[in-house]
Amino acid sequence: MSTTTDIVAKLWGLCNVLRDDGVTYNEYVTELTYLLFLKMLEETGKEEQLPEGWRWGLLAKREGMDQLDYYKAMLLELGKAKDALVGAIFIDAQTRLRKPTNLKALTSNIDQLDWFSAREEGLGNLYEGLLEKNAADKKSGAGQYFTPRPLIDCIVRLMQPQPGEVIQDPAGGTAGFLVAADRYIKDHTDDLYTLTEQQAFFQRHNAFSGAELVPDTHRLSMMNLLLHGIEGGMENIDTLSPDGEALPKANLILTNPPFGTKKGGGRPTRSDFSITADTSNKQLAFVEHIVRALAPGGRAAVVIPDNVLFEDNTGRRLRTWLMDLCDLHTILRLPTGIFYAQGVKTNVLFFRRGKSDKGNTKAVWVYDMRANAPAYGKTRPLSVADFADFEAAYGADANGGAARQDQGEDSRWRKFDRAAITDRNDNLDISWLRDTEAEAEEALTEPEDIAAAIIGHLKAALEEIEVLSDELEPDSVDEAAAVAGAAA
Amino acid sequence: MNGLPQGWATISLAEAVEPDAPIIYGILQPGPDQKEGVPYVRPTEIVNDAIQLTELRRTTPEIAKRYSRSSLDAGDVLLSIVGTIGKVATVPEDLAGGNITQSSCRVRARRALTSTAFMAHFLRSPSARRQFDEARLGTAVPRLNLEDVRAMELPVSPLPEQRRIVAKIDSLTGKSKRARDHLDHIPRLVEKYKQAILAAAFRGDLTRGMEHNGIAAQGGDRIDARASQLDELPIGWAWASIGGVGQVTGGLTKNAARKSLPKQVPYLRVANVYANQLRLADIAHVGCTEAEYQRTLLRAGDLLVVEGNGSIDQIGRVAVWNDEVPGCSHQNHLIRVSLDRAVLPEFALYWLMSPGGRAAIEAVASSSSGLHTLSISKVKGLPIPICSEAEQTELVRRIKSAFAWVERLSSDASSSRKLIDRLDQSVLAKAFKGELVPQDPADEPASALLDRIRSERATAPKAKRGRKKAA
Repeated sequence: MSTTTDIVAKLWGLCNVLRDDGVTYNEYVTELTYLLFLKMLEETGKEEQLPEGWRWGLLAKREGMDQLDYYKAMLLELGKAKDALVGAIFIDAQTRLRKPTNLKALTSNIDQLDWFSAREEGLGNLYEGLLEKNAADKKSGAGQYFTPRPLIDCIVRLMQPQPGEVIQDPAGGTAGFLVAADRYIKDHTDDLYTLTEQQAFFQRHNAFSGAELVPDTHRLSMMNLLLHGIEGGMENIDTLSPDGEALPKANLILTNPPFGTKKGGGRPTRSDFSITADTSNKQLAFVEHIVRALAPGGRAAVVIPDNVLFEDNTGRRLRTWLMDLCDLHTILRLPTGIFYAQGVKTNVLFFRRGKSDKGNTKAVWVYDMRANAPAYGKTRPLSVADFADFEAAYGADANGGAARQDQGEDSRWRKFDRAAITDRNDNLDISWLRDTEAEAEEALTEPEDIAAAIIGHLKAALEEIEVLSDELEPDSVDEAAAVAGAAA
Repeated sequence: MNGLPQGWATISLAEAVEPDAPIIYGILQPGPDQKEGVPYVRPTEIVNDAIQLTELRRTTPEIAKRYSRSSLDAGDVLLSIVGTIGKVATVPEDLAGGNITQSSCRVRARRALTSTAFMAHFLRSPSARRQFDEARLGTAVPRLNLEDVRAMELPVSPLPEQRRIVAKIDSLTGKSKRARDHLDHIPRLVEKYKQAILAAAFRGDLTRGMEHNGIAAQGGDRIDARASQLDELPIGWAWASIGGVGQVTGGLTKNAARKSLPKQVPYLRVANVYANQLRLADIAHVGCTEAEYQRTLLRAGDLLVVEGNGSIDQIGRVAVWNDEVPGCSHQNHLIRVSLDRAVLPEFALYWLMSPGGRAAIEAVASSSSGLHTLSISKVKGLPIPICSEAEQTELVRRIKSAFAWVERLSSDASSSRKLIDRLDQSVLAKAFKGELVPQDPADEPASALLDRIRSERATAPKAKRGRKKAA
């Protein structure tokens, strides 16, 4: 066991201490974020960022009610801090701890951690480990914000982020994609050592931009980026609101937008949206944002649920538009059951924004990783090795330009030219291998996995009916004609 | 039909088909199935609005030729008219040149007036079903007369509106179909979930972390796990045999002499006992002596195990008797297990329903003769894992709560499944009342279109019973 996993296990174990204080997993991770941040500033000698009189050392040495009172006052004070970063981490910060003994348990345990080794391995890894534990825990409900790390790593390897590129995640979650992209760049530049000072500064301050709507998740993402040596970049905004237009044009977009409809059937409020202005379907609207946010020649890899591939009307108009403006060169059909919290069916779209606005997609390559896949879940988690065949088929060119070989009807890897897709009414939900979903589900044995499959089907059914019910609202003649036109 | 929206008209189905392709049924006697013949569709092959192409039978080219007037084209709509009335499917391209039997009829929508899709949606709509019901003949085998099908009233809207209606229906029913497909997975997964819960329960996973208060199998025949190749048990558990933890007894054997006995008592038969379920609507009575009665009288907490004579997965199905019918006896094909106090009836029940318990039952039930049965001695010998009473109680509680959760969910899913069918019907009902999509005053009214077509056809043979009621 490495030191990092050891520390993660220890910190996670502390969580149980707090259960009787009524602290949920999510709140626990937030609580740890406050404390780890303070401890880290001490360890890295950067405490001058904090206002006078508020220090880890002063907190840790206190006892009992005195300590808890100091801590509460400290959170309040730091939320008002002038330092932008400190302010962002502690904005609206409140502790959930009620018993002084629990705070003491946390501060003394954090003091005892092997900080020297943890820093050697990277505090960022430690923190990512905690986020992953939190997401893997069903009770936390955090799974929906958390893209499985083996999938993120695969996508980053294929997209090959480069120093100097602006990389965006408009639905940042806990910043998993940005952190992985950063790690990739650091691995290829000897931790930015081979770059000029100016380039390195850009990597630390301007390379990454993201948006996360949920304030607490945003806080975790800030901390995660910070621990990976990236300052700022993640905004606490709604990408589908006018704020999203202000995100800088990106050379690379990596994202896993939220699934489902906007609460209360709300539409995006972006003035620059044309295709998805009328839909409450979030993932469709996110795809429009991504295409608009890419610089010419920029590339994107986006995790989307199946309905983006087959949805009629707005969905179909969006796909046609996407294939015109971008070269949609690759679709990866992901196996079911790889997301922690739900059994949704997902895909990754890989595309590149063209220099012109017409006819950019010539052919779409589809890799079906879903048919006959093992039943992923508790007993068989997704691993890096699961993506090896796909990565080999994808080839070395990030934009899908490497020589590729259609391996025929019995294989997972096939090519469909634009005309064939037109014949399918631009429906991209393409599968040719026999559907063995029922068989894959047959192989599930753990009650948790089976319950997840049940919930997945119910959620998917629910989502269809929600969209249907939306569509039952009376249309205008023009809308109805547009639907008929799209179907013709 | 009254209250049609602006621009709509009602015509007969006979007028809504191509003039050279009247509504017609197919081959009377297709003869034996041919390997290389002409495929024909029977209503049985229409499943979920589609034709099961792999199931089709074929007739000889000679017979098909004789029935060339009912030959099929891509886009023809098929309607079943004998047996199950009202199944609808559209002929795919691969089936052009095929045929039908006399149990369905062909409806080739007239392109100038309507479309295949509009016609097919109409024939599935409540409006069409109502008309089927009114025209239905026959009691044993319901059927429709072709004349009545031809006389059916079809509401038609202006053509552009028909296209809007079809697009809207397709979009809505596409979603409801996908929702239905998802819900169809639920019953199977629910069964799997229950099995997984039971498996986890007897691995000790559900009660992990509980205090183990010693082994509870005192007095029971302990089975040596290694000798009988039984799974390893959690700490504090032990293997026992059913016979070691309870009395296993048989019931009353049925014979003619019993009818004349003065004492007639209610008694349970195999038909009353299902897996974790008693069906007590129909309880038979049987004669017995007082001694027999005392020996076979059921008491609350007894397990009833079905002895056999069914398929292997039905053997050993088991339920707990809670004295639902006081004074009840049982038949000899139900084996009764009266458990010691050390074993909770529901604990034993869940064990016998679990994958491990089922495997043990099926292992002893199989025989060389191919007939599968249990016997008193086989049931006595079945293994059962035992743990402390506190742990049994907790385990039963957790299994029950997991089952309750998943059963609630399953029943919600099945009601939703039924509601989705009704939703589709109500969408179709709205569509043919002109309420699904908006009217556009700029569209050419259906009546004008009809007039145009009729005048074009003035020289051609007359339409059979064209009726027009422009709103």
